[in-house]
Amino acid sequence: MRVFVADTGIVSALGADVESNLCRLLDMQHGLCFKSSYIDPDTDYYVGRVDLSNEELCSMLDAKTKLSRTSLLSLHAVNGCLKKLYMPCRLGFISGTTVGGMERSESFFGKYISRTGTAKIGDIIYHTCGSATSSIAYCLPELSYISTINTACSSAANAIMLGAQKIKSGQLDAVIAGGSDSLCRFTLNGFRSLMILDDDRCKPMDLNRSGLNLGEGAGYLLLISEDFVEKHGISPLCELKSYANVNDAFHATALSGEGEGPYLAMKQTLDRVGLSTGEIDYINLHGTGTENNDMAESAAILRLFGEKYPLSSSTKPYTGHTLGASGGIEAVFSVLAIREQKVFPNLNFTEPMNPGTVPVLKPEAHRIRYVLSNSFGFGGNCSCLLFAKI
Amino acid sequence: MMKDRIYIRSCSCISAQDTFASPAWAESIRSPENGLYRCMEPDYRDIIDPAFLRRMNRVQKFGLCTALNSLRDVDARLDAIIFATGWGCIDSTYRFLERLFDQKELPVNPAVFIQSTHNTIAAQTAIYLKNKSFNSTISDNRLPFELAMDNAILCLQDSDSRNILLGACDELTPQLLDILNRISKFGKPEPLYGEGGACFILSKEEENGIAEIRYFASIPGRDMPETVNDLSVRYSIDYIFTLHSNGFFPDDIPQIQYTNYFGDFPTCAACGFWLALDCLNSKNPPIPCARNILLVSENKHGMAFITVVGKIF
Repeated sequence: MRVFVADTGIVSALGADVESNLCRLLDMQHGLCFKSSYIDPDTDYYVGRVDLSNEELCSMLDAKTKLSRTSLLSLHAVNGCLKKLYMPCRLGFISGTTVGGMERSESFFGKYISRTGTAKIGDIIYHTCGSATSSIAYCLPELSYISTINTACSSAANAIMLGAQKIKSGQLDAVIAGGSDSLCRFTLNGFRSLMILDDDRCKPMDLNRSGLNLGEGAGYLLLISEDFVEKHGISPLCELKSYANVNDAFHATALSGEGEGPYLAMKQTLDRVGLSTGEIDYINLHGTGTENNDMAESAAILRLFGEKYPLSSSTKPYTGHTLGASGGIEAVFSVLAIREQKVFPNLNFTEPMNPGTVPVLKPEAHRIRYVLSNSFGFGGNCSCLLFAKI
Repeated sequence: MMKDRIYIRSCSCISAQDTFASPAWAESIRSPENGLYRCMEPDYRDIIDPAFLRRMNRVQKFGLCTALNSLRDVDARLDAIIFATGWGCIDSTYRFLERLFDQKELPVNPAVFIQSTHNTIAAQTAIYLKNKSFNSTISDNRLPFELAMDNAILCLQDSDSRNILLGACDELTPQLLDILNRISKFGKPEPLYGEGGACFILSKEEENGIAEIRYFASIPGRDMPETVNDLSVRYSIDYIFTLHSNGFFPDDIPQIQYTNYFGDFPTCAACGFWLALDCLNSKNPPIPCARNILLVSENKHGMAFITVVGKIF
């Protein structure tokens, strides 16, 4: 059973729908703002913030006011990808997240830990990762399957892979798959304490890169089966052709220097469908802008593809690193690259690593048939998705 | 729903009972203390490299320790490592939050932050075993273990994978317990909370298997009573294992509530599954004469999982 992408939904620092995200990618306009102090008064870093408050999201979505920001972002993006969904069908909702309801539970924990003020139970009930997904089930068409994945920054990519497996096995007809994460003090301070936040806007793949910018948002694909395409006469956007999930098995917070995990993820994705390296037209990089990730990813690409490596770029300078959502947001961008037959330029790049891959720097039209989307996480969780033009 | 026959080759469980160390654990069943089922933990230094152990939190120890124990007598290359957790690394998470909100300065040590994500349990296991294969972590409030088993079975059927490590674990902390009790004041009577972890080697190979998964599927909750009835006849079910007792099931088949041994927590079904395997294999089973056991669980969104596990003859 083949798996197709019927539709996409997104909310990111670039905008609250697919077309506004696309416009800004093609205009090379980033969505970052130098204003993390609204999350944590003691810090100021560039962040990719979604320009909608929880109250605005709630009223737009007609949702429960207790929902976490991660759930609200998720629901907003999911609503954008349901146009070609025909019910009844066996529908799944599989979502990746790393912080779950943390942004909301921080107001509980702040009071609970410092014993000042009343810690409100309403602020903690949707804390878990599972709640980020299940708490919005009531807003969606009837679901046969709900699951949540947390493999750090590859969470959404693995949610999409699991969605494809459920459809391929014939157990589901359609799956809403992707991920969502909101900015919060927890991750902002966590990454700050790891000293991998760039003081400036991030410079993925650049020799002088010095870290990442955090972001928030959500990105989902509506995956449908071949049978569903035929039954409802849907013209899909592209095919989800292959995928792979591996572990680098090297270190808790660093990829191996030679990029063994990234290499295996990309190689197994190609091998699974017998595609040769020369057939890949574009790689949407994980490209966080950290010293370690970009070195490992670049090394893996050179090892697998050689000097004639495909066009590549990181879109994280536009959105920030949206952690558990990034694999979903970048899957949407990969689908757009096929739809538009265009590649989105990497921002802030001036000097290549040596050795290193040089990303695309201008928005140019290209023949785009096969696109790889890379997602790598702490704990060595490396995943890769392959999208194909129909 | 299952294309290939799937077997369990080994298992291991850390729980409130002496399930990790003693095959005769059922001879002295422990009751909850102060309304809680706390784990009987082994001396981890006997099992995990001390240099590695120093950097691990408690729930990661549940995971890695049961993983290593379940691999002790199994000579198999693992094609996937899949873990389930509901609460994740809640202690590390809380400790980082404490630094954030209690100390008047920003935290400088990233150690507890690094240990706070759910995927560190499966990831540490991969690093420890130097295993580069498929690696994933499923989270859910009610069915994380069942969803992880679903993912494991999909992986066995979607690829040439042959052996998969399936694990599940959750830990209780004083703060978590306090918060759970505050939440449940607004709801039903407070459950007896527990904690624990279990690991299983799932395999397409029957050789040296300890049990077979005869049936596994997720179904709509509304179809559950009828499906359980049908399967009870088809597989000559001796016992039905549930989280909570349920009046819909056949009267003539005894129901076992595994929370009475382990307490209630998101992945307690993993301990329930371990208990089922123990009943099928042990010389001192807590529940006698079992050949086929049906396990059933359901979430509030109308999604149910049914597993039938039986002896290999």
